[in-house]
Amino acid sequence: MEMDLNYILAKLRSDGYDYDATLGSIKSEKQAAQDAGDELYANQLWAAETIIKIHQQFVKTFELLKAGRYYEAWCEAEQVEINIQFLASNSQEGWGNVKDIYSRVRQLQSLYPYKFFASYVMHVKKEKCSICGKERSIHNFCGHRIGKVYNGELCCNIVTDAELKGIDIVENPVHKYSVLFPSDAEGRHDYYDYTLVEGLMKYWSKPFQFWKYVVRKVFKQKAEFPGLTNESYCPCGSGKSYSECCALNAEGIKHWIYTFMVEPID
Amino acid sequence: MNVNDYITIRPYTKSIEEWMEDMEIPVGERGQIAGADVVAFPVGYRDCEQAFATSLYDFLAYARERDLFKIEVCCPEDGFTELELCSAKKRLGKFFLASTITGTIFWGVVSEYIYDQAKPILPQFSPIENVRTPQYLEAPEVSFSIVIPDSLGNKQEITYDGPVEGIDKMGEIIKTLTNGNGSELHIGEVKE
Ligand SMILES: [Zn+2]
Ligand SMILES: [Zn+2]
Repeated sequence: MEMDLNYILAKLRSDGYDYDATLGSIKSEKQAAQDAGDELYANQLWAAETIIKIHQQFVKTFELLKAGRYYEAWCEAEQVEINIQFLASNSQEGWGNVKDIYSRVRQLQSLYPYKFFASYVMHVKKEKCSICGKERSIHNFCGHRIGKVYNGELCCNIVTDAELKGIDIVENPVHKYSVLFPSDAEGRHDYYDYTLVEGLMKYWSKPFQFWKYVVRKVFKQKAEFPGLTNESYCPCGSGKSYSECCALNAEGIKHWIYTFMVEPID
Repeated sequence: MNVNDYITIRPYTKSIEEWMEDMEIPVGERGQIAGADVVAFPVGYRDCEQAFATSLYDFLAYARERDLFKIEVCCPEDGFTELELCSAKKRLGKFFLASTITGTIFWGVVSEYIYDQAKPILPQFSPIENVRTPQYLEAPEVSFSIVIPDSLGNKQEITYDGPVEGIDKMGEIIKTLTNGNGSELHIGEVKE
């Protein structure tokens, strides 16, 4: 008898849910379906497995944020995002289960201070298909497309021969984990200002609690910043000196007020 | 010529024969490439001029599944290499259309493919009022170019580089170019 996947999926947001245990049983069920050549069911199990992983990674993201490990949380959130994209391109129904997680992740990312990323330029000379192991060839297609699921497995590219051609600095990277950090002999330093993420974490108390935020722009007067001179960095955060920035603005110094709205929990 | 921020049109002079020569296509394979409706050209990068765009391979698989035209890659079998580039943009590469007749059909498949690829990651992040959206949260982007002959026998290269939402404009231009007689005039008409 097939597993009741809807029943499983309905429970994923309960407190203290044991994701690993469920993943374990889905895995053996999937193996059996694959062995039996039941591709349809194997693909459904792949979707269920991916949905469970997304929930698990989202909880992990939340926990890392709570622990103040912001960069690690950023990387975990990227995994959530990637898995959701794979899920969405293979299962419309599955996507429905995680839509709200996706929008939470994007909102979270928008609160991060990161702006620049290192991105490589790679000259890929040989690659093979993860499903059938055949080398990619322009004349003999193996029939498997990257990012699609076949018999319960996601098709990926395995690069077997490539040459690094350079590193570029970009604002829209392929890999979000490639955040630029300054480093010296003692290692890498994280000087980023996580005020907004910290602000959110004061109110966000359970992983699946709904939240959003709005931003209001106001103007402050010079008198509200004691010690502010023309040479000081502008309090608006532009990185320019005050005299070259908001001093030129008749309305005053730009200031943004973030308001976090969280769903009440009982 | 800039039609808008994302689309540029310029004359294209390199012929398919020159490309086949440069790519060292064995003589026996040339007929097949020259006879295709659509031929993919390399996009190149610094010292790897013969590399193809990252997303070309998947697009080929998609186009061959649809099977509405004959598409070939201007490349010897063992010479196919790809460029994996920086930003999260979808890069399809450069396509040469042998005749204007293929224009509309080819465009149909390209635009379907792009929407099919972008659909899973829609709806996008809705911008928060009063703050600048970081680039990594902006709508997905795509780039590709199409080399198309006009009725006078000259070739034009139309390049698109921008958000997925804006590609329809490219379709209009291709339609105008492929249905019309005298491209200059028709391009002028769709210019905003
Ligand atoms: Zn394969
Ligand atoms: Zn300022």
